[in-house]
Amino acid sequence: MIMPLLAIIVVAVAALLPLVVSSSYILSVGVTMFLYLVAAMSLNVIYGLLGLLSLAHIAFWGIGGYFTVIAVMDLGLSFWLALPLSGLFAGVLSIAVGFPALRLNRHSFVVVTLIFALLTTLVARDWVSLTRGPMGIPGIPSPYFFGHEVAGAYSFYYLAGVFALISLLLLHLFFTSRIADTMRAINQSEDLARSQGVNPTAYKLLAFFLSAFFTAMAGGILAFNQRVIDPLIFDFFFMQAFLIMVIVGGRGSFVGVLVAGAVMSILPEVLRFSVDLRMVLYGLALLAFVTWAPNGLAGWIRERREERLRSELQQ
Amino acid sequence: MNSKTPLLEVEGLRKSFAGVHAVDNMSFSVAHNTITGIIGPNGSGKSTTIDCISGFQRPNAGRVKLDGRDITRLTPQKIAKSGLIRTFQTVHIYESMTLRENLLQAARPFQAAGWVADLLRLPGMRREVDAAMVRADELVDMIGLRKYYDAPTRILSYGQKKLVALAAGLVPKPRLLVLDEPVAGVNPTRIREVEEVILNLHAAGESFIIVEHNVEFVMRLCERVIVFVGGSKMTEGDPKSVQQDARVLEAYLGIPA
Amino acid sequence: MDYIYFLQLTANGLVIGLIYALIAVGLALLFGVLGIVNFAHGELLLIGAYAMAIALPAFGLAYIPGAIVAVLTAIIAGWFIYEIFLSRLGHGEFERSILITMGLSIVILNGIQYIFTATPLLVNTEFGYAGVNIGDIRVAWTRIAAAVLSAVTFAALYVLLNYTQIGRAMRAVSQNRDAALMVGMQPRKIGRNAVILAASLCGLAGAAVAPVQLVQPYLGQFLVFKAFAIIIIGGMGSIEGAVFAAIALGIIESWIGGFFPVVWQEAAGFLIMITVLLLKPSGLFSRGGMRVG
Repeated sequence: MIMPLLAIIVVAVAALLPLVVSSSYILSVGVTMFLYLVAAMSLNVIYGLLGLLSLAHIAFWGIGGYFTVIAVMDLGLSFWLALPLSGLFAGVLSIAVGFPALRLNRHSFVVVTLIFALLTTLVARDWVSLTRGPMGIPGIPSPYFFGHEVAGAYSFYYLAGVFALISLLLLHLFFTSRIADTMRAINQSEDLARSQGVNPTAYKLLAFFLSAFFTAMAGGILAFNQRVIDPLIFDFFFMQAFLIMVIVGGRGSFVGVLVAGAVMSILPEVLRFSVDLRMVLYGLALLAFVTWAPNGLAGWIRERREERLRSELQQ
Repeated sequence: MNSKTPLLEVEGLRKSFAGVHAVDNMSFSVAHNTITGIIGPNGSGKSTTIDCISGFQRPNAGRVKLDGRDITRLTPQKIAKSGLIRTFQTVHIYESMTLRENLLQAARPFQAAGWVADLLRLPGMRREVDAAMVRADELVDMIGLRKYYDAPTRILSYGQKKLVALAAGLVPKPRLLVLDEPVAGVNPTRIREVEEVILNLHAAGESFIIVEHNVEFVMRLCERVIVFVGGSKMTEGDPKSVQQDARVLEAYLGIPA
Repeated sequence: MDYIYFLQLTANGLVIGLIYALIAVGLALLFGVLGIVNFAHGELLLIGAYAMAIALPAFGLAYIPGAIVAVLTAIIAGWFIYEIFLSRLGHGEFERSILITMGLSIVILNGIQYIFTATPLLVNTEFGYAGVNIGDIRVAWTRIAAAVLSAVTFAALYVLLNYTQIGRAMRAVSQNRDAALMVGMQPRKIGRNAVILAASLCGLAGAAVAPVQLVQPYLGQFLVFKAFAIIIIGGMGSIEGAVFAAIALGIIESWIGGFFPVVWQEAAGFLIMITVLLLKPSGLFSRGGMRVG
């Protein structure tokens, strides 16, 4: 009963924040946090539930940005249509990449997704007629919501916030479903799952599709928020940030990644760390967790609980 | 079900690795509602045969039929769904899930609800979960681990984990359950319990193939015993006649007949 | 004078190719011996390059002592990294190795950026900007020094890998790990040797590249992604393949850069890599001595 109550309070506070806080800096930190949360949780689907380390997320993030911008500016689509379409486009791409990448093994999946990520950066930089190359596309127009211009930190706070709320609710529904349980089963023992009649490939492709879908839409909103898009959206920094949030929170844990993602987005801002120092601390956190607590905060708590249970039951 | 067709029919199975035949010209069949034992020394092709039957390895030649239906080149998941379930020699269970979740997960692929029904918790999905829960309740009592029902299976002992694997295999009521060394490394009292579980299920109509190193266990439990040597079937018969077969003694003990 | 231009490009490409080779060989070595993909490889080079940049003024711009400091610094860094992190990895912990080396890469890159800022350093050596005319082509001394340094290193590396106990043990582990362990080789010692060797190559590459290009924190990352492409083209884990692919890529890039828009120079490595992957998709993972999956 405590969890839903807590969730409602958090959402309420987040919704009322712009009414008390007028600093556009704080609101823009909020926008970034909302988008990171969605992207990190998406990565948590494929990496957390299935254990498939996808480095292609940075590609989906950037593709979502470019697709949405180009669809709006060059094709004249409405932002509200272009955004989900960018998700679908990235999803279809994820199937095209995932199908061959999954044919060999888990390791080849890492390498193929990395190559895909490098390739998309190259396309963004060098396919000048489509992406305008390294200079990027400036002057991205504001979306209009029933005649209201969505511009500035205040409006984007709500746009990104509502997007994150919807996405995370859907993802929560997913993480608590039997589909996610089957994915956890595949991750623990693919042979056992197959011997019980599960087709792992279908689940892997579904996970990859979902994670690409949500990540791309988050990237699309990012592009419209910064009003310009250039190949820096493919900066490996984003990939590292999502990955660290998932690992620190605990692979496969919804709440863990949510908390880790929020803390890691807000804390460095509160402490006024420079970007370099923040990344040094992120990197140290990654090293520490991978080396000493590979299952993250959620895993650590779970292990303590299991130990207690074991000693209780064996008495 | 036609009682004339055997439940499982293996014909001329061959599997080679780098030119060496692990299994060659393997043929045998298993009747409905029986417990069949497979024994043989190390390297006699027992594991390879099970892998080929259950789809985990592709045979180079030969045919496998389940209830008259050819399942030779199907994927493991399709073979499982057509009613042949196997367990593994080393314990394969979902260690971070609870015992209950392990059993419910085993039921999942045999239920009709799709991804949408699962995601939206439609009534169809709820009915299925309830039905699976009833079956899981039955099995957890049968293996006597109700105390651990909601504990993560990681905390169980080795023998208990083997029982969980057995119960998970039984969840979908398979036509044939292939047990790969179900009691290897399990302590003797526990072995008696496993025997009892299997005999009860057999009485209820379940069919088993049991691959085991523990010859006594096989002899006590099985109506028919098949002996593998050097990648093919050497002989088969009831436990008594197999035990007295000079060739079997030779294969096991190296005593020339 | 088209052919002079062409030769000039080839000479420049050869120098860059040799530097690529220093990086790629270490990457291939670690992949072969430890079964890991080292995302912190570029940062080892970065350490070497910054060590060179700092050491040179201290030694009155003398090239060789500067390079020695760079190599030693990279070796010490590599040693620490191995003892603290990589030695804990079991073999086949591929994903964990990526995460750990990625963490190291983040820490080193941003640590350097925090200390030295992102402003590029211009590194001057005893050679200054002087060059030499070989026939009709002109090559800067710093480039010649880089090429000679690399070439000497490869000769030494060849001897090390083929004629010494340490080198042969590394090759044995990378070709057939199980057999090597069965005859009693110590994986920990061999792994440490491989990391130190790879780190020293990175340090050397850093020293060689520092006077040729601007030294800035993203230098390493830029070069190492190229090195990934190179070891994929050369057949992952193959040292000879990495050397040839690296030199060829350096020269091809230089040619393309001289005759086509500069974007194609960047793209060349990846396009060749994609072609190799398409023509020989399984080659990546099925070669002997490879240990992925």
